[in-house]
Amino acid sequence: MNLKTTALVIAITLLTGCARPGLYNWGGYSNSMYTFYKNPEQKMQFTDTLLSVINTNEAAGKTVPPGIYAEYGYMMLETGQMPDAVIYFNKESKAWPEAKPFMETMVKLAKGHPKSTSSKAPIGAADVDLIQKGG
Amino acid sequence: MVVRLISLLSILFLATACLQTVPKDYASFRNADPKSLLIVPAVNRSLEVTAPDYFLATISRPLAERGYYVFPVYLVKRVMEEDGMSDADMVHAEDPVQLASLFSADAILYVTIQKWESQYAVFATNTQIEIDYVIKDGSTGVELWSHNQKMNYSPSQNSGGGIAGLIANAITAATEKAAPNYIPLARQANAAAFNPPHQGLPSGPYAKAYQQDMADY
Repeated sequence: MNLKTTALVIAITLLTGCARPGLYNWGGYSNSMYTFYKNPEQKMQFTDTLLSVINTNEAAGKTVPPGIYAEYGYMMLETGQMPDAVIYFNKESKAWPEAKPFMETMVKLAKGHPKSTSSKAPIGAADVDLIQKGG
Repeated sequence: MVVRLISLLSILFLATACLQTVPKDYASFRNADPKSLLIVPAVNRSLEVTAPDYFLATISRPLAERGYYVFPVYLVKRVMEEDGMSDADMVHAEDPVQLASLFSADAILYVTIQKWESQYAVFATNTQIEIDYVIKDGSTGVELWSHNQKMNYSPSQNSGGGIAGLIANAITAATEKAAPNYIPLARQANAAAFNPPHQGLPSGPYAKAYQQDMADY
């Protein structure tokens, strides 16, 4: 190994040295969310990335990272696809017991909401009341 | 040249990221033993209005990788907005116990962006961020952990010298100014905040080292 390669190996080791081997496979989650914040018209792209992270991990028998099912469920709720929203909120509860009370509230919201495809914000004052009462 | 540059980068990284300062007291954290973290919208003290949202895109992963359940940041943000809590300063001022109870979260992470800027000079642009992190117990409101993290980035300088080198540096500086590299910097800040022993967060319940890292945290 020449000096240059050694230096490079040291640099890479240092750059990754503080991190540990990953628990989860996140796919393009973080970059995709950043793109979405930067450009809100990129919502489809974010939704697709979430689904791809879910499908890739499920197919490999791996745990889907925390929050991903819930974020995807919310994308479904926002676009009026209520049955899918319910499915994914329930998946989050099942995978992560910590999320259960919050997800149960989200499921109630999705079930109680008219199955419209309107672009209006799906959570209204009455729903917030529901959240505050803890479902 | 390349060797020198890489060595310099390594030293810089060590000096900023893995620096060991006074070990933190983890008594309250261990006692509370939080398993889930709610991340509320970040307070912005920088002049860059987009900083909090961009930062939010970097925060879930490093915390989940430490072994915690992290509530879905975008969904949480939307629910809070609909609840009239779109103002981050207001959310940070709310009673943490009440806030945590809305989501049944064990603890809340509050982030304040102190600095998020790119200073342009013709031959060198310096991008820097500074983040304050505070975790509070969701059942008592007591502070469990806090950290201040700064990160700097300057595009590598062309040391070729002469007028060509100067022009190259000017172009690099202008490129960094046009599109500052905030996201990698934010990721580095998070890693430097959460991971190092005696400074970062103990392993959470989903990490292998959960409750096995008492000596380090």
